[in-house]
Amino acid sequence: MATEQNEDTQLRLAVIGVVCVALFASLFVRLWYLQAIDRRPVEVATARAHLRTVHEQGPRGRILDRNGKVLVDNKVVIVVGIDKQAARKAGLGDGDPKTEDDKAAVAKRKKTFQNLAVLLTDHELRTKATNIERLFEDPRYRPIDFVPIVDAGAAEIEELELYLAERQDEFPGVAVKRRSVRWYPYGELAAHMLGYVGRIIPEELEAKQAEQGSPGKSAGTESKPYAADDEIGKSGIERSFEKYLRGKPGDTEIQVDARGQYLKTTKEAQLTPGDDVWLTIDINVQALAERQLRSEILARNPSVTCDKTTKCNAREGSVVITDPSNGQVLAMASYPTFDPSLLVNGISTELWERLTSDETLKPMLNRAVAAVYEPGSTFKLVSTYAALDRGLVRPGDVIVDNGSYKLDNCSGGKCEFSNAGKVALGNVDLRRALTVSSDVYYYRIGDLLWKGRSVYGETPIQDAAELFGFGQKSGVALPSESSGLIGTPAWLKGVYDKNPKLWDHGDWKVGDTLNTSIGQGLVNVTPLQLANAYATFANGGTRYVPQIAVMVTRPKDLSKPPSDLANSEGVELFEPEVAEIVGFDGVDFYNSMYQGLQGVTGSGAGTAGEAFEATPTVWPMAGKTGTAQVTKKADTSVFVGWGPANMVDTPRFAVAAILPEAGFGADAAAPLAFRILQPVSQGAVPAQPPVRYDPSAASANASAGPG
Amino acid sequence: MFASNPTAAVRNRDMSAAWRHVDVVLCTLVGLTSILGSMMVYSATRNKEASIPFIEKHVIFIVIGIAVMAAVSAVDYVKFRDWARLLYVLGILGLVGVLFVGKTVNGIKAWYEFGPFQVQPAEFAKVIVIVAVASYLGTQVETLGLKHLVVALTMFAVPMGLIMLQPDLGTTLVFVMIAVGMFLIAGIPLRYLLAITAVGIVGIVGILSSDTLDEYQKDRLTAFADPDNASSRAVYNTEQAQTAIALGGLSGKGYLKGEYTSGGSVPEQQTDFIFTVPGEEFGFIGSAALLALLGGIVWRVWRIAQLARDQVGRLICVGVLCLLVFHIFENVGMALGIMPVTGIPLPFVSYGGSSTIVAFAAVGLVMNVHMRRFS
Repeated sequence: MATEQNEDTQLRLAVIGVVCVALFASLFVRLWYLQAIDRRPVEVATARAHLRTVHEQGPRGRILDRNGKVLVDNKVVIVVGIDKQAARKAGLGDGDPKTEDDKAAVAKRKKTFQNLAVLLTDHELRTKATNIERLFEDPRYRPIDFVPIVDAGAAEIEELELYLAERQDEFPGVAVKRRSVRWYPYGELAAHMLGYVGRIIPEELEAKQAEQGSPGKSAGTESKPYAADDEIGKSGIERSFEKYLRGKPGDTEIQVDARGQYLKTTKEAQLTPGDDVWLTIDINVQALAERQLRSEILARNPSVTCDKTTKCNAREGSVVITDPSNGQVLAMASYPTFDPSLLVNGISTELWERLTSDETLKPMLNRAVAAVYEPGSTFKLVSTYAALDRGLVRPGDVIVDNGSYKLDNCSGGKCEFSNAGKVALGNVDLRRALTVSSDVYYYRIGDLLWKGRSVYGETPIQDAAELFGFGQKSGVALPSESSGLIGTPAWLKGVYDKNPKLWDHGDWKVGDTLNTSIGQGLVNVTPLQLANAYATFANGGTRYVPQIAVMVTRPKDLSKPPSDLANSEGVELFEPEVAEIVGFDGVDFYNSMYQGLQGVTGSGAGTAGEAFEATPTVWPMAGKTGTAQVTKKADTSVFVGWGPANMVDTPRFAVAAILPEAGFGADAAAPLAFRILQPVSQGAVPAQPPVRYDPSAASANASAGPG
Repeated sequence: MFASNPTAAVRNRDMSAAWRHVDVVLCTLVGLTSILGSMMVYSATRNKEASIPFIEKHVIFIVIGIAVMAAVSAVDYVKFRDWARLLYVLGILGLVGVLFVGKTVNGIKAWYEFGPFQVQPAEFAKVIVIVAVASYLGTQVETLGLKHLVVALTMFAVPMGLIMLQPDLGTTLVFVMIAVGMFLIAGIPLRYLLAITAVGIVGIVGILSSDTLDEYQKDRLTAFADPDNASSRAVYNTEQAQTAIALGGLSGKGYLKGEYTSGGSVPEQQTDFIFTVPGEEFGFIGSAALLALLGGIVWRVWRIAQLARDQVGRLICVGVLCLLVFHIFENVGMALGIMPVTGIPLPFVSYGGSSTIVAFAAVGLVMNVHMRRFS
């Protein structure tokens, strides 16, 4: 019995043993299968678990002048910088002033930066260790950012790139990146108009993503989704034509190992370059205008006396040239200016302050559209139109200008208004009033219009100003445009009620109308508005929306010059756009004004006659000088005009020049305008060669995405 | 058969005789496995942050485990029969108490917390129940019948029920396997065994189709059979584990060089998925060697079951055998994707205080049987 049971037990034990062997055998088999036989599912699983998509931007489109010259291009640069994340891991600290790094980290950092500065200087990229330190501590860079230090063309420092790649231990945290950056062949030329690109900020990102989608969630096949850290046009054309210029982004799929280290690229992004934008600008005229503006401003510095008492202090100014026949902007100069290539790799706080502070006169401000000035006598175009249109005066009416104008029944306040220098101009009709710039003639108009406001309305001059495009945005496709200001009784009351300190009175007085009639006081215009108003008059009354871009094209082959139109397909053609038709009731109405403005340059008595004689154009010019008085400062010198102004040929150029603190309009702005238009009229504008030449720029679009 | 009325002198001689019969092979196998296990734990945890590094705690557990093993094998297991009831009651009280004051980890309330250390009473319950059931079934003089089966089943059912309340399904299943093995060896007629197997199957199906189990538990249990249908979390764990093992290939990536292991890509790697460490870093050669070591331990336990001087010893050995085999098969099989995912440690390898100490205690019991096979 015992033996039997024992045998039975041994049998059962054997069964358990067999089961155990079977279980272990199945483990071995499965282990062998996983590790030696079927490795395919593993590869699939690995790939799926460790795929990362990297959003990449397509290269931006180019910006061209009207003749296809490339004003903004892309080029590949090698950027040497500090990878803040890697630097922290390498024990260099994080450079955050809020959490001071320990001494060892600071010491290690100093040594690394010193070595790097020496290395870069050896490669003719002059760098100071203190500069690197300062950039590293710049709070603009986040702890995960790459801090660019120097960049150079890919060809020039390829060797340096290799050198650094092989010596990661000696240069902890130092990284080298290739990226496609904006390239400005013409340097500072047209910088305000072109604008710059920079990293998108959260507000912009939100707005753009709502419109274009985000990576992986694009808003349609033609959309260009945005991701954080993408580039976006920040100002000028770069901003207003962002939707064309932006390249179509794509996703690159890469495989990384479990530690996140790069293994290989599994899918290349399909990047499409952005479209090319053709501007209405002629870069040669633009260069001429900027050069002349600059020299005029530099010449009228404090050593020159503007009038008997005041020293000139010209430091800023603007010139705008448009085509009156279609509203196209041919040149737009603003001074002081800046070099957009300084903004390419992000901007240091210091530089940003220098570019935007009042002390430096905000070099990045595009004064042609974003600054406002009192137009002075150039505004008489509007006052004349108002007086004629309301039937207040007839062109032939003559009054006697004895140097000043007295208000009737005047009590309190200013009762007598004078010409500049109290010059008596004698008998003046409308033509002569414009030609010799008789303020008295316009004071009388203002006085009568205000007295007869029950008949003429309270705002006859302001209404005319609106017709000519003042007090409103011109609609030019440039950001940050100012509306300017045309004060009205209602406006003044509103402002005064809100803030009584802003103005000395809240009720419109006759004096306000008098001031308005000669373009002083509550009249502020932009240089572009002024040019456009005279262009409107010059072409017979059609006010166009100033046009800055001619067309948008999509290049087929980026290595070919953009002027080869067979190489691109059209995306959009911009037609002239009419904003307003200004009517002139009667031939005499228009002609008398035209002749009056012709006389300014064409006769010896004209305020700009002397200046025009010194630098005549091949065809006659017409226009108006303006000298706006500014409290405690030298006068603002203004000239606006057009040519050909012979009432036969189509006018092709309207020009406005405004130079604050430069003196009489006839002394600074008018000669400046003629010096620009003389070679233009002669067809002798010197060709402007690119100031910077980069061999890699031409092919940069094709080869590189952003780094 | 029993050493009755031994004099002090005899007992002393017997004691020294017992030490001479220590299973050196088993000791060696356990030692090697523990060393390898510590290396695995270090590799899996060296990048994890902890106030006391995992590996230091693990080595402390092994030292305690060895002491417990020595203590458990020192006293003739016959004595355990007298203590069995007390131990059993203490074990049950431990399981009841943890339901009230225990710490919850991953949804399971199974741990007493003492400072940096945690004690899992269910682990200790395993060896206690083995000793108690072996003592009960192994000492019956009459042929085993339904009554004994019912009593033994109840002895299993009470701790199992308490553990299900935590709810820890994996540990409950360990008890099922121990019960099956011990009943088989105890000599309970086959017809009863077949009957309870049938009841068991019906019970499992019933549990799976009822709401007794949480959804995640069902998921984990069924994921391996139907990977497309299971929740992504459950699939992810096993896929990561299999990927890590497969990455090892034949010879492995090298110690401390596994990218899944050092990158923390495998969840619960120091415990439930510890086998992925040798899988990735030592490849087939290394992990098969580890499996062979574990197999060697099982073989020695099986052999000792054969050599045991009495039924109690044999039942203890078989209980421990089933415990070890189920732990090994479930833990490794889950990492290899052929078993469902339940949190069961790999003896002598996985990190964990209670499980390590209990594994040593279980082997200590078996050693005890081996040492006294001639007495």
